[in-house]
Amino acid sequence: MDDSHAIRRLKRGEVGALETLVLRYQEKAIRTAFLITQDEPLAQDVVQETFIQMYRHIGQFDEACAFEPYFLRSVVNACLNALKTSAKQISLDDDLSQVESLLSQAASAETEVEGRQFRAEILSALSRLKPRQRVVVVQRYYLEMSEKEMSAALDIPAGTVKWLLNGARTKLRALLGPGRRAK
Amino acid sequence: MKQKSYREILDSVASDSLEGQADLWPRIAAQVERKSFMKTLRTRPLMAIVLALLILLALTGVAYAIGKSLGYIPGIGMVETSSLRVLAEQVSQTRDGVTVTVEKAILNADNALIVLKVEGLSHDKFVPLEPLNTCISTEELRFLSGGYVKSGSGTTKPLNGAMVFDTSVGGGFESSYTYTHIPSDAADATLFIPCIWGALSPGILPENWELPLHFVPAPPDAALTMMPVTEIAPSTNFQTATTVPNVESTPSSVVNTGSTKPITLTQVIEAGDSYILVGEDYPPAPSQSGDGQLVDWILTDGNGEKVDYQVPPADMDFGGRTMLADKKLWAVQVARGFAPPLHITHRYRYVFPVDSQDTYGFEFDAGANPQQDQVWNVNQEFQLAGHQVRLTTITADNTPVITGTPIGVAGYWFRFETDDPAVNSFTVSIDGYIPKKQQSTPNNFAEGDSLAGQLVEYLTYPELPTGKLKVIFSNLFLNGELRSWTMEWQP
Repeated sequence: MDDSHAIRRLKRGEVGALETLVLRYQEKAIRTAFLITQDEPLAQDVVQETFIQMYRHIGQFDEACAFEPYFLRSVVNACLNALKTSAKQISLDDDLSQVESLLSQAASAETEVEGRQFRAEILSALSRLKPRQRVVVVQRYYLEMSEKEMSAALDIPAGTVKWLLNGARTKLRALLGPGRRAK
Repeated sequence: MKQKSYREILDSVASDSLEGQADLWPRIAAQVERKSFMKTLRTRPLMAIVLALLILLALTGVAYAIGKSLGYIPGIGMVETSSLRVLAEQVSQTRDGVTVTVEKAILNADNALIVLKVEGLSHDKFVPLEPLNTCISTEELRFLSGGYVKSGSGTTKPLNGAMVFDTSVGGGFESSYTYTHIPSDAADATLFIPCIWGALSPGILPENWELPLHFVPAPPDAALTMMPVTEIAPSTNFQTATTVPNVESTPSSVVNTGSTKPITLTQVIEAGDSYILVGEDYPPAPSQSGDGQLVDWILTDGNGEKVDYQVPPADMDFGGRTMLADKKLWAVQVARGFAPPLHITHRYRYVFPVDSQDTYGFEFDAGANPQQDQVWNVNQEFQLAGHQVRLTTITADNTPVITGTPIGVAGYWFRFETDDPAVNSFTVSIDGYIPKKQQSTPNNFAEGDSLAGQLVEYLTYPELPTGKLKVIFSNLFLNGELRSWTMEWQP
């Protein structure tokens, strides 16, 4: 059963079709939510609530649209909302570019050990970003959304998305610590 | 080491940090499920007797309205008046121009239905469309004991009877949600609303609403607060239409059982600004070797215009029956205000197997480690029993399987296209591997329908077949008659 078939069945009231969608997308959704919230139980709660909201409002979902991007965008918005009221909100550093730098280095890591070390540093760097900036990183690099799609999803001008991403890139070189690329 | 994409790295960042694989389905299922009516019957013999009487009366075929002893509450089902508690009085709060009103609360022994209205939402802050809505937290009913229950199934709809939100205007919405496992003696509770559904961004609308609710035993006229149920004598006035695809020598795939009632309308529930129509369908049986497939329902008004409808949840009680358990039962909800009469059309496709042992096989290299969502653009044309089909893509559905749990999946999607309207479906198999499950989306729509010409087969396995695989297509089924039955209903 593909997504559009599952949606059609869900609109016909077949709850079993919801299970299909949950089993198919929960893992990616939880990972997306975790990258933003940095909190596993909260990420699970957010994804659970997003599935339930989607079920409630399935009548308004356009079957012609792809389900996965729709659902993951909902998860991202739900994360933003959850973090606003969560005591665990962290925002120490605006430096989005550090994450990009680490991603770039992790991409060319030559050993699994080195890769794992970079991944730990990426997680740490992500935690120092504001939630909205984590959303930008997740949307651009994990969900692989275009700047135009991000602009629509976040309801911010395209220029702001460009500013967030380009500003980070210009700092990239300066932020590469000594010895980081000395392989 | 192979250069990894940023997506793969972030995926590993998350998976490194997450403890195993979560299965959210049991938690989600618990929130969307409702107490079964049969469970109510087992614990409430009085209700069983009343219902038996009701069924007896319905058999007379005479339309009548149910009296005060029973009423229908969406999400709860049919209830006895005597067991009910209701809201003592409406509760309303206004903050920053937004007004939340709890209009109605109906509680029986374990379930509650809360109806609330939210007004004063300006269009620049209120976007009632997913995924722009940022309010995802659900309401809670909190009790003095410190316990709470989260809202379960329900609906949200625009105010003033509209079926679709007008996003350029704003306004508000009305929602009806059920809560299960309510303390039977609860006289007071607080409805906690963490955020307003449809909020464009977090905090843009007032949040953390707390509305104190007081419940009292339902007065004798409580039936007035419920939706009257009208039983209708099954109609015998049908128009039947049959279309046959352009295929040579279509055999008869229908065995007429002599049924004079292929579809019936048996109940109409006056659900506020809409109607819930309930009935049964008995399409003539397919031939012994054939099969029958429900295609869809189409509703049109007296001017021939399509009427939008929604299907109530499959587990909603309709006099002890649910669509989940009873495949003959159907129900649709339509807004009032359509130009009468309403025409209800049920489309049903009969299919039949081709008398041929023809198969088509080809080799497909999935590689040693197919990734989740990995797509192979195959675009392979082939013929099966003389019918042309194109395999467009194969997609891996591969997340780690934990044996003995519903977690993980190992399977492949096969997507096909055909310009041949006769092709309905066929069997897909991978030589040497026994699938755990096979699901089909057949090509059963009428020519011209947007989904016509597309077929999907989905196979899952205990472990994903990898490497060079021999894929075999066989057992072609062709489309036979597309029958539709149209029934007329006058409110």
